[in-house]
Amino acid sequence: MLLPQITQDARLIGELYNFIYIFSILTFLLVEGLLVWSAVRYRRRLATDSPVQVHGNNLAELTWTVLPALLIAVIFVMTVNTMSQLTASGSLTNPISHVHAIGDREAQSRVERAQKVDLVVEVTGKQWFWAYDYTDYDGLGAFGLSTGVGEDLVVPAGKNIRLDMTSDNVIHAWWVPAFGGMRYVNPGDRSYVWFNVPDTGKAQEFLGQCNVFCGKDHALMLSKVKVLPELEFRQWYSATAVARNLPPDFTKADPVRGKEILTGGVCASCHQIAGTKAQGKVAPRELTQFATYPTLAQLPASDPRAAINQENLYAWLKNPAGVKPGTAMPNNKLSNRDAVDLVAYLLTLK
Amino acid sequence: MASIPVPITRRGGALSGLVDLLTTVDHKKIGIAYIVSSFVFFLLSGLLALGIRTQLAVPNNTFMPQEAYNMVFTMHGTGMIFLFVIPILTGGFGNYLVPLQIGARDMAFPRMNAFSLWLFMFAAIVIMAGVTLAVIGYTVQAPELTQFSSSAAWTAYVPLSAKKFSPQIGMDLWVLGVILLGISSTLGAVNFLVTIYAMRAPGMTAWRIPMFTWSIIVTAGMILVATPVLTAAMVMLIADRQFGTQFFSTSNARLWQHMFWFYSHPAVYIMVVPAMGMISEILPVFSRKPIFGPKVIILSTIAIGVLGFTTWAHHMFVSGIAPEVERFFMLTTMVIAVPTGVKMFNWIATMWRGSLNLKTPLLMVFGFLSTFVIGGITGVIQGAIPVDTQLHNSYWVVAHFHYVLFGGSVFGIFGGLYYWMPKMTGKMLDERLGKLHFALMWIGFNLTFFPMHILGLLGMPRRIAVYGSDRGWDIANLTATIGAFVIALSVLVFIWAYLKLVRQPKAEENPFEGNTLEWLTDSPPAEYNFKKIPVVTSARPVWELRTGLKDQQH
Repeated sequence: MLLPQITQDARLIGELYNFIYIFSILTFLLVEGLLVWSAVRYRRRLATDSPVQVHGNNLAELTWTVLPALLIAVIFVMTVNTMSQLTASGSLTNPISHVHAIGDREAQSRVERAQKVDLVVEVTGKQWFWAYDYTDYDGLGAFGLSTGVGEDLVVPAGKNIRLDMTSDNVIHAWWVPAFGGMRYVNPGDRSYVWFNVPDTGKAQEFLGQCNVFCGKDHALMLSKVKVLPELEFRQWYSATAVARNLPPDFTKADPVRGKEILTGGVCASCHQIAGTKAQGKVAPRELTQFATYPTLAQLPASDPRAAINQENLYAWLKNPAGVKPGTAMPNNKLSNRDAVDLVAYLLTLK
Repeated sequence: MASIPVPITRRGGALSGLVDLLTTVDHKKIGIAYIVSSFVFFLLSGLLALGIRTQLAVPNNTFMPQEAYNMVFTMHGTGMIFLFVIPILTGGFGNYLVPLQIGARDMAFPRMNAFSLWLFMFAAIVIMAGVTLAVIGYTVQAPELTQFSSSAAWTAYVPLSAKKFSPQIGMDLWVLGVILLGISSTLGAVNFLVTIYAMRAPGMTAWRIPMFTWSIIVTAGMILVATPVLTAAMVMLIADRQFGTQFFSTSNARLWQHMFWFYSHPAVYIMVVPAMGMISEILPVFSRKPIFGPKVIILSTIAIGVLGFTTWAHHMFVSGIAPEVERFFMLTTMVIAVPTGVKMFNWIATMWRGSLNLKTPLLMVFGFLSTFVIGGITGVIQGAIPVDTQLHNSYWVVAHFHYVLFGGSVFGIFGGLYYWMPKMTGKMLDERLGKLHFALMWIGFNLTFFPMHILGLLGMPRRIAVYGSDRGWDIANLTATIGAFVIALSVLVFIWAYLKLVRQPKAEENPFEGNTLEWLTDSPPAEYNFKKIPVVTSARPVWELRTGLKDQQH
C-alpha cells in the first residue's frame, strides 16, 4: 500500500503486494474476530459450567486445511506471473547458458530484457560508500564518481539503466525503494539492478542506502540517484567526462576546500588529524604532520613516487593501488578539482 | 535402572543448598536453573533493546556511537535467541515438564542433562563477559576493552565476520560461545528424544502423549538435524579466523549463508513450536474442553518440523541464488503457513462453546494468538519473491519476526510461567498484577512493533544506527521507542509479581484444573516425582480422575 511505485517494476511489485494484502486483511479480520467473539461469548459465567466435550470434527478440519491451501496456491500463481514480467534485478555471474540448459524461460527472458540497456554503470560497494564507473554513453568517454566525496549517481530519464555491481570487501546491498528490486552486492561476483525512470521533464532525486549490515559506518552508506531529462544528462555527461580527463591545474588549488573534503567526508572514517573532525583510527599513521613525513605511503625512499610533492600526491589520491599495490586505501574516484584541493591541504600539514 | 531413587532429606545451611544446586541432576532443579538464568539473559538483552530504541528515538541521535550500536543490536539478537527463547523453552520448560508429563522420575540421562546446563552457563558467560567488558569500554572510552565487542550482527555474514573485517577478540568469543551452546543444545535434544521414547508411563501411547511433550519431540528432532550444521559452520569460521583455513573465502561466501540459514530458519520453529505446545496445553484447560482435533494438531506440528527444513533459502532471494530454485523455496515458504493456519483454527475451535476462564495464562494465550497471526500473514506476503526484493532487510522484516518471536514465543513463555508457576513453586502469581502485566505488554508490544511495518514500507533498513530527519521516519520511530519502554514497564510488573510470591499463600494442588500427569503429583513435586508410576488410559488422565468419567479420546 505504501510501497513507492516510480518504475514499471516497482508498480508491478506494488500491485502484487496489494493483491496479497487483500487476502491478508480478510484472514486477519476473520481470526481476530473469532478470538474476540470467543472471549466475549464463551467466557465462564458459572464456576460449575460444564461444556460439551467435543474432540474434533473431520469435515471442519479438512475445510480449514484445504481452503488456506487453495488460497496459498492462488497467491503462488499470481506471484510467479508477476515474476515473469519483472526485470528489476538478477545475477550476472549466473551464466545465461546455464539458464538456457535448464529451459527456464522466465529467467531467460529476464536476462534478455536486462541486456537491452542504454547506459551501464559499474558500481563498487566500498566500506562505506559507493563508487560509480561510467564506462561510456554514446561515445562520450569514461569517468568515475563516488558517494564517498558527496557525489550522486546521475542517470538519464526514460532510458534503460543497468547497474553492474560488485564489492571488493564485505557484502553490501543496493536498494533505492522507489525503483523496486534490491540486490546484494557481493565480493567475488557480479549482480545487477535494472531500471527505467519515466521522464517528467524535470530533474528528479531518489534516496536509498546500503541494506546489508557492512560494518562500522553502514548507516551512513547512502545512495542518492539524480535522474535528469536526456538532453540535460547528455550535457552533464560530456562536461563531466571532459573535466575528469583534463590535467590537474594546481594554480587554482584551494586548501580550505581540501580540508572540508578530508575532514567532512569518507576520508575521516579512516584518517586522523589532531584538532579536526577527522578522528578515524584505521590508517596506520596520523596525518597531523603529514607534509613532514619522509615518504608517501611508507614507500621506500628509492621509489621515484615516494617523495611528498604535488605530482606524487595527486597520482596517489587518484589511484592509490596504482602507486602501492595492495594498499588498504580505496580509490575514492576523486574529481580532479577535489584531488587538487586535497593535495594543497595535505601539503599544509606540517 | 531398576532401582528407585530414595529421597534424602538434607540438613544444613545455605552452603549445602549451594552444593545441591551445583551438583544436582534432578530434571526439575535443572529446568528451574535454565528458566531463572535465561530469564536473566532476557532482562539483559531487553536492556540492550532499550538502548537500540533510545538511539533510534529521534533522527541523528548521538546517544551512543555507531560501533557501540552495532554491538548492541548484535548482542540483543544473540542474547534473545540463543540465551533466552531457545534455552527457556527446551532446557527450561522442556526439562521441567517432560518427565512429569510422561510419568517418569527423571530424564533418561540425568548427568548429561546437568552437563548440558553447565555448558550452557559457561557459553553464556563467554558471550556475556565479552559484551559486559565492551559496554564498559564504550562507556569509559577504553579501546582495550572495546576489543571484546562482537558486532557482525547475529547472522555473522562472511566476510564481515572474517578476521580481516572483524579482527577483535570479541568476535572469537562470540563464535566460541555459539559452538558451546550448539553442543549443549544437541545433547539436550538427544536426551529428550530418548526420554520420551523409552520412559513413558505404562499406557501412554503416541496419541496420549501431552501436547507440550509432542512439541518437544518435534523441537528436539529439529535441533538434532539443524544445530550440528550451525556448530560446524562456527567451527569452520573460527578455523578461518585463527588457523588460516579458507572455508569461507570470498568465492564461496554464500556457503556461510546456506549453512547459517539451514540452522537459523528451522531455529524460528525451534523457538515457536514449544510455545505452540504450551498454547495447546493451556487452551483446553482454560476452556474446560479437550483440545479440538488432537491428531491434526500433532500432525501439523510434525509438518511444520519437516517443512521448516525446506525454506531456508528464502533468506537469500536477493543475495544471488540460482533462479531455478527460487520458486521451490517460495512455494515451501508459503505452504508452511497452511499447518500453522490449521493450528490456529483448531485452537479457536477448542474455545468454541467452551467455558473460558479468563485468568492470566489464558490472556497470554490470547496475546499469542492475536499477534502471531499477524506474523504468519506477513510471512506469506514477504515470501512472494518480488515483494521480498522490496522488503528484505527492511524494518518490515524486524516487525514480522518480532510478531512471530515476541508475539508468539514470548507471550507463550509468559503464559507458561503463569500456568505452571503453582506447579514449580506451590504458589500462584498475583492475578491482578498478571492482568496488568498482560495489558501493558500487549499494548507496548503493538506500539513498538506495528509502526515498524510502516517504516519498512517507507524504506528504512534494519541495523542502522542513525537516520536523517529528511526521511519521514521520525514519528513511527518515536512511537516504537515509547512502546519499548511500556514493554519494559510490563516486565517490571512481572518481576514484582514474582517477588510477591514469597508472601503468597500455598496454592491448591491443581488450581487451574490441569488434565495432564504433572498435576497428579504434589506442587512442587518431590524429588522422585511420583510415589507410584501412574497407568495412563487416555489423553486426559487427571480429568478422568477428577470427573470419574471416561475420556472419549484415546
